[in-house]
Amino acid sequence: MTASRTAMLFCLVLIAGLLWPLPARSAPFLQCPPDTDGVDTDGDGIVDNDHVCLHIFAGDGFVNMADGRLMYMFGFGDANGVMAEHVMHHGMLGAEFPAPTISVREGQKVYLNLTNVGMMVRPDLFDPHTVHWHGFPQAAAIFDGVPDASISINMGGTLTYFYNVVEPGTFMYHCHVEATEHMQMGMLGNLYVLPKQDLLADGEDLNGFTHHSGYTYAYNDGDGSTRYDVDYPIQLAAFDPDFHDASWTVQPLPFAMMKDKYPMINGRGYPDTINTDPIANTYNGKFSQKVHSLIRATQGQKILLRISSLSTVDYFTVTVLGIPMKVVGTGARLLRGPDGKNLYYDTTSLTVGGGEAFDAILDTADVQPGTYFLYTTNLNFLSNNTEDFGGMMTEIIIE
Amino acid sequence: MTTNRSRRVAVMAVPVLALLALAPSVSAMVPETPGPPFNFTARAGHISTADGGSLLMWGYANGDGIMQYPGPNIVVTQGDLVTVVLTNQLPVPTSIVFPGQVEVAASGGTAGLLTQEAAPGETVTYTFTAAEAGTYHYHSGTRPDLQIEMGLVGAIVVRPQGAMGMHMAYPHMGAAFDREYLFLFTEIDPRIHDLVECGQMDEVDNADYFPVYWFINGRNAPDTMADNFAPWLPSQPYACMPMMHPGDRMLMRIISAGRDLHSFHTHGNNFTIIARDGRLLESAPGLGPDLAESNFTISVTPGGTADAIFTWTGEKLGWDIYGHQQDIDNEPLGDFPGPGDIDHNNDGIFDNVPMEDHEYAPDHGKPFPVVLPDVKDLTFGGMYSGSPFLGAMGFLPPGEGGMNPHAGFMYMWHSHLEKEMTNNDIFPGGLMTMPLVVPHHVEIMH
Amino acid sequence: MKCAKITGVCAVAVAVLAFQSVPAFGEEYVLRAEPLAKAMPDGRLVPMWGFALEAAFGEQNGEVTSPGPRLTVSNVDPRLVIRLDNNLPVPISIVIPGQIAAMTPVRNGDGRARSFTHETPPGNTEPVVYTWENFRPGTYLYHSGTHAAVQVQMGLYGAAVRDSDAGLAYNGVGYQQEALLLLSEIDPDLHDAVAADDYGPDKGTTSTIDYEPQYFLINGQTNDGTFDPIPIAAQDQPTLLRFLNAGLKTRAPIVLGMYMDVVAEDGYLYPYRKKQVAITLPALKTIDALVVPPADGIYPVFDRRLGLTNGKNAPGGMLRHLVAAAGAQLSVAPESRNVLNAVGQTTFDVANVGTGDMEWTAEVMEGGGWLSITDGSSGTNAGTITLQFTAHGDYCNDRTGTIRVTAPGATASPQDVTVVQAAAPLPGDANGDKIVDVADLGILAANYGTTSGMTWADGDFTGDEAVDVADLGILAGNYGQSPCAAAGITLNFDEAYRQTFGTAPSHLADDSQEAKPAEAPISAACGILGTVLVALILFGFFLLPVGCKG
Repeated sequence: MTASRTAMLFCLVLIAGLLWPLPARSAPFLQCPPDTDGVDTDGDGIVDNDHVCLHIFAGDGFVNMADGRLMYMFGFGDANGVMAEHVMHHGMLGAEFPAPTISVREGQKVYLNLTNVGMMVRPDLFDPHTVHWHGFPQAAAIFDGVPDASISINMGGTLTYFYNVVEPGTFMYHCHVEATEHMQMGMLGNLYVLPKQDLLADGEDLNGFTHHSGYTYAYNDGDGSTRYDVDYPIQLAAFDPDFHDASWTVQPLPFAMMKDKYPMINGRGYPDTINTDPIANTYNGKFSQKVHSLIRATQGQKILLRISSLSTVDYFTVTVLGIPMKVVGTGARLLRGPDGKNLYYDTTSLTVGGGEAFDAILDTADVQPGTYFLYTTNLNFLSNNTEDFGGMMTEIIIE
Repeated sequence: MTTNRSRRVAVMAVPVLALLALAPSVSAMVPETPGPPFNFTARAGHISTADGGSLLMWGYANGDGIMQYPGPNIVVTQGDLVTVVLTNQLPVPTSIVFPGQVEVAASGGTAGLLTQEAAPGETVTYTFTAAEAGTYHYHSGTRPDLQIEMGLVGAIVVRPQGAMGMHMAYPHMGAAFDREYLFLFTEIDPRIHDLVECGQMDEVDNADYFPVYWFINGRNAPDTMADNFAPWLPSQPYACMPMMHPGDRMLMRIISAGRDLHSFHTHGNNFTIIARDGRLLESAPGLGPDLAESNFTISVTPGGTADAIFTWTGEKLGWDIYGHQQDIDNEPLGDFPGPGDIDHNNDGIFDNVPMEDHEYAPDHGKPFPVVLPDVKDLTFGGMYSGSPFLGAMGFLPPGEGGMNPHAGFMYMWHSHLEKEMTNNDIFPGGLMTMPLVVPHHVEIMH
Repeated sequence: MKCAKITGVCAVAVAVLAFQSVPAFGEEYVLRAEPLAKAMPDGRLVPMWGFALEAAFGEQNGEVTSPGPRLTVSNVDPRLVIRLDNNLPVPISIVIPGQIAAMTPVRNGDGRARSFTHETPPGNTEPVVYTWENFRPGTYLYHSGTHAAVQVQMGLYGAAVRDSDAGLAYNGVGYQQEALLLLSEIDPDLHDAVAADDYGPDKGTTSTIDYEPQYFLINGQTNDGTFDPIPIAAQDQPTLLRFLNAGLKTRAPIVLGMYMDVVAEDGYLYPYRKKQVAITLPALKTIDALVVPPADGIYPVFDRRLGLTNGKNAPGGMLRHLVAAAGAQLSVAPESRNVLNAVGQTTFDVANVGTGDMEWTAEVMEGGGWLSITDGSSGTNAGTITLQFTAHGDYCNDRTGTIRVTAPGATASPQDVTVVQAAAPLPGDANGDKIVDVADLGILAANYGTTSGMTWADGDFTGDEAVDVADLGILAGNYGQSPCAAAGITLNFDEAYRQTFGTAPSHLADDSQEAKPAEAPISAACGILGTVLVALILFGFFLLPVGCKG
């Protein structure tokens, strides 16, 4: 072989090598940087544990309504701990309703990795997804999750959101891509932030109230007035079976005719709301409804209800018959005026529109042990579509 | 479904005209109508819905002009004696009521259930003293179930007296603002308008009400984001396109003028509600809004109003929102590093870059916390500048973006009952707008 | 037997029988649930379920209404007791959101909750009791807690009100006048399905998910262009507006011409008052607001959710006029008094809720034979009318007297108020159905021997809080009495006694134990006692040392 031919061969190989398409980065790329700033920001006294790494996937799946009806849905699912190269397979048809509950602490820095695993039932759809942390203070567009104003993640890709969590309270999260469709289809979840006041030293005085280790509060109230013993997220939403069926069967989506037919608490209608087991769907047996709403407390305890709605059509008014309710927060803020005036109020029912959140404390001090009910006073929504004695209701057991 | 994407881009192209230039709009943020006295004519007309449709409406026209939806803004000063002369050119009796105003006198016409009514062709005169500053509204007092639906609603703004009138919602520092915008919410069931247009008013079944259009200031998204007095929306003169700089206090004058509750959510930050129904949330007169509440979603009672202050600085995000740590690709774009891009000591980091107005000092220079995915893994929004930083443009594939020429941050403000973000079966639309936060060096011309 | 002593006892017995214990009134209400038909202005007749207020369990004299009667709880003795008489074909119950009561939920066979509290079965012969101790001040909605999605909508609701003190709704919330505005909705298709027994699994309508109201009402009345004005206090005087929503959708009452000072929701005082023009009034909520009219005149109040039609017809729906009237305005409270059948007295309060001075007079229009004014037959501005009434011996029917208060020149004059005197309880009739039969004997037997805490409904006919031989004697003597039935009923005490006590009565051979034809039982008291004594001697239940020993 002459030198020139060798050179040409070498060039060809080189050119071929350079032109050969690099393999697409198809495995999810998770970002969970270590906390090396040497500063304790979440109040627990440890400087290197302020970073929280979460991994969720977005795709499609199935759930069964309380009357048994199978519903095709879109949703988020839990991918924490799943190895990167397994996430696509893990998430396939594995969406959950509601989405996994996210609970973090004030002062933490959250890296939320979102992997889009695609829609297996709808291979014609290549929808991207986002996460919108509803109510995040001072949000920047890039991590706000509105696709028109920033970026959304395509199938097979992973987008990492960053949140410097500075405010405690009750929030919610959902996908904001084609929001009307993706939210109706079920991409909704509970999200709340615990206050630093929980981590004060034992015996610390809060304006006359003595904090003890283990005490938990809804907010940094400074006086113990939002202390609770047990807390429950209560997320209201509803499905329209015609919309979900149209999505399943590749039909035009009936936005204009959307109606609430399956009103739900935490993704289930009564009596599934009081079933404490995770519920598997009848399509592929995956546990797609993991959050129950049975509330338990012992007499004398305070129950914090973190009430939010991600309904796409209706307002819902919810009540607890027989247990007084005190509203201490709304919009992830303590109900207190700018100069400290106390705005807490007592009530029997709360009216919640889509995107609204409330913190309400039930005080069981003067309440007899027994079974009580949390339900909607829009009594016609005590239905699982055409099935009576269902819908937006759950039970509270006081022992 | 993304098959609608191309259509979405097309309909979003409309507001580009407004955004590209941030052109000076012809009138102030809350356009005023000459008066008092105000001469309104109730007459029929048509509006355009953002899905390309057209609806017969009954609305108030200023003087002898064409009807508009909503009716002409009544903007007066506290203490003014307000006279509104209503001439009725509808085929049915009509009237005006002024919720929140006290001792409204009405002369002429015949007594109706709520107020004096003008028969077709008649005139009725209403007079009241705008005794208290605030945000109010007016609507038909005759068959409100039909006539409010048909469009007979409008906004009233009463400003405090004197120089502070243009920068305070109420006579107290707690109600001061830098910019103000109207958010008048309504909804429409087109079947009712079709029946009226076909002369079948008696067939209207109010109990069967089912809206499929939702409006801010009489427009569906994305028309909400076009300019005030857009010539191609002659019957819908009022826009809802809030713009601000970081640190501005933006006053939201929210009017629930239809019959439904709409839980209105502001992305980007909480707002502080300082007044409801034209009264400061104050524990005693003169104390200012000491009972103000913060929230991220607001429900205003139908027939009620709310005033809220929205601010945004991007503080405490944990990274420098202006990207001072990063090399910024200044104009002309795409040639980094070009002559306009400065890097003082050649280490890829800008030195001594001054703080922006209202910048959160502890985050100055902090790096962006994550690596963004490869472009092929991303779908870009038309209002994305290509860069996560405020005021910075970044790389975008050909054909993407273009609707955010000043690289601001845009947030979707919308009814969070997501069905209300559609225009009669078409997504997106409805009760939605995309307020814009631009860096301080970008002038907002209204 | 020394009948002298027996006679003495007889005299005592007569006296005792005259003061027999009866179901108490005041804060104890007997409500009868019954179907009714409501005519809408467009002619549609809607079947509904409502409540009537009765003087005693088993009576059927009250008018059945939906909303049901307003219940007022005293601020002196804040305890509410409702005795329910269910004439509907399904079980019902009563709950009052915002008030604490012991509740025992009832479930369907599949475990799903059907009732939030204990139920009253259809056609109950015993009153089922619902009690609220320490009723909190405020405005409350009572409604059925059974199959609530259907029964509330069918019409089983009403208002229950308690003031903190006279003229004081809550601490710091004084008012001169009040107006109750109970908003409600009707979906007539759902009512038709329920009334035609076409609601339920496998029936025409299986759930309430498609609820869509067609009619919109305030205080049970829609408006068809005309309606009764709602009087409120005059210029510069405070009126308390009590809003309640018994509908299933959110409503939004709005007042034109003046602001509302909203003070409380669900009977809980707000930390600060709220000045509002329109109020969000969600389903089953109550809201209290004060208004102070700047001038006399008409202030329209209507639903800003625009429930302003009657079906397709307009004007209609939830619209009224609050009328602040100039000058004197007559107020007489309460509208009606229920009194016991024994002699006694009662009072009515007269007030001028307007301005200036108001002269008034009162006279008995109906019932003059038994009702008379003993004090306060006239006055100026505030005053009290005191009335005396004689005993009412009729076992079957209440009697009603009417008093008219006239204030010349004042608005809302004249006003009629009524005194409803209950029928006398029939001795031996424990369950109040006006028949002395085996059901009553069963009740007495169940409580026999109890020495305290007993009432008439338990079988204590002597008023001594015990159920003993004296009561048994009374029941035996009156056995079979059915003075109010159309045809006479023949009952056999011996047979009933055998079924109830398991043994034969001791006087089998005594012909005097045949059922007597209806006659005034009091005159037979002596005979009854004598017979019982014989029975007791034979059975060794000799408790009363009533002489007559040998």
